[in-house]
Amino acid sequence: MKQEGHIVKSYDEEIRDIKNNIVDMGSLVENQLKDSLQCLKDKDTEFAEKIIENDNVIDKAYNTLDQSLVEILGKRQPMAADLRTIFSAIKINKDLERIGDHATNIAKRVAVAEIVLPEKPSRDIINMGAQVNIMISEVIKAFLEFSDQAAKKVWLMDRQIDEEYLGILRQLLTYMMEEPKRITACTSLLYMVKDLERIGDYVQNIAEDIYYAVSGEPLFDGNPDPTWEAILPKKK
Amino acid sequence: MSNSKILANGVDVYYGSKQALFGISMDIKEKEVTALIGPSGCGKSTFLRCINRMNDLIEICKVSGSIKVDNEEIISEKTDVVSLRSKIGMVFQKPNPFPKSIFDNVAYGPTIHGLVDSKNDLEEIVHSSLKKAGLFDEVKDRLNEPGTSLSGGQQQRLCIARAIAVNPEIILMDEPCSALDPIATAIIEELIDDLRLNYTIIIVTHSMQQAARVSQKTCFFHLGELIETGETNKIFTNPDNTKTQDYITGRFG
Ligand SMILES: Nc1ncnc2c1ncn2[C@@H]1O[C@H](COP(=O)(O)OP(=O)(O)OP(=O)(O)O)[C@@H](O)[C@H]1O
Ligand SMILES: [Mg+2]
Repeated sequence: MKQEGHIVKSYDEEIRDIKNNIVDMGSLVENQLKDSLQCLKDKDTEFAEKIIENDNVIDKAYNTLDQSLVEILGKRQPMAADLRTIFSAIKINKDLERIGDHATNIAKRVAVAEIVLPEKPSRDIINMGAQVNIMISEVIKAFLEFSDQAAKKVWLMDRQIDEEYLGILRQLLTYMMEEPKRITACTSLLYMVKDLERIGDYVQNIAEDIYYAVSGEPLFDGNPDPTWEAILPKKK
Repeated sequence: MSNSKILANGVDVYYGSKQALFGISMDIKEKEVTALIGPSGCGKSTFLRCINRMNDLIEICKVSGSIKVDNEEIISEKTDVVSLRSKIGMVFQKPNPFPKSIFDNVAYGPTIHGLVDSKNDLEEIVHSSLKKAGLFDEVKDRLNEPGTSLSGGQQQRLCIARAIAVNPEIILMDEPCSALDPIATAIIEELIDDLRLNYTIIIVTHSMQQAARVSQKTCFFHLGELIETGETNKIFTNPDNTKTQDYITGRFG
């Protein structure tokens, strides 16, 4: 639905600020993940410490935005599309904060890993992480464009991530079975790949929230259409 | 549908040569609260006044189309207006108690409608109406004091008691809380929720939040037209019409 500006101009500004802050939050966690992957690649424990430190910045940004969202709810008592936007923003902000935690976890694993990490799965994880990061940036773009179709597209990208996840999982299990002294190292990687998989799920949540905010309908209403069914990953 | 209490069809209203309502059709269910919302001058009060034929009192006002109450046409020369009005209570924006005692304010309706046989009956009706309006405990020791001595919120509840006293089936409320503070408003809203069990209620309100809180159905009027009508939950979270959306979110209508 096409929207005019509010009669109260400051309300428009507040909504604009909210959107900008979500985008900023998105950049923060995107960077956090990018840094974590870089530090995994370089096995740079010093950098890892810095990244862990940086999680506080994300938490602070989360709290500030959360507070202003509560204020706008109380002050404006938004209705209809505004209500859906604010409500989604509250959830998106929280999900981004969680994504930041998972990205930080990867750096934490690097910081404590004194052992040599196996080359091949490490590389696969870094590649998977790069894909997850594209999802983050795409979902933020969908929010900025306020596009339900773009959100739906991002939602579907997680299918690929889930496949990667299972592939790397199998690979790691094989490594561990073949050579039990690699178990410690592989367990570290196992946690990392799980972190990435979780991030993919959070991005899906965000895509669902955007879809609802824009269209007023849930992405799934309990009757998924058959074209969806066909492309969805099989239940594990 | 069988449980329609009020069924309007193509209602046009003119004040002189100026048309105020354009082909309003509406289906109001029994024992539901229906909120009428819309910008000032869009015709909400005009529509409300059609239902109890109050527009008859405005000389230049002409109403056409059909409104059925309990399946009986009321826009007709033959309509028994007195019996129609005994079915319908009305509460106005400004509390308007008669310049009489609290007791007499409530007793007036049942007395002129000949609903009581004895003094005991009358007292019973007055007490129970005040109780239903949630006012009895506050005024039981001062029933002979003038109605105008009450606070605004109490006066409004007195007017509701007065409306209930004639045992109506429908209650029309035209911005009943606009002169009240948040506490008095909350009390009236709670009361509306209780009354819903026994009455069909139509309320005009300028507060979106109030409409969202008290009603099950919401009708949005704009420039004399009924733009959208639907479940209140739907209207306030995801209306179909852009004009409705613009109005309830505080954009230009
Ligand atoms: N007695 C009257 N004589 C002439 N025109 C009238 C009369 N009452 C209402 N109107 C006109 O009819 C239109 C609808 O008025 P109405 O009072 O029904 O609006 P409303 O939606 O109740 O507005 P508000 O929210 O301000 O109470 C307006 O253009 C108004 O000027
Ligand atoms: Mg009015």
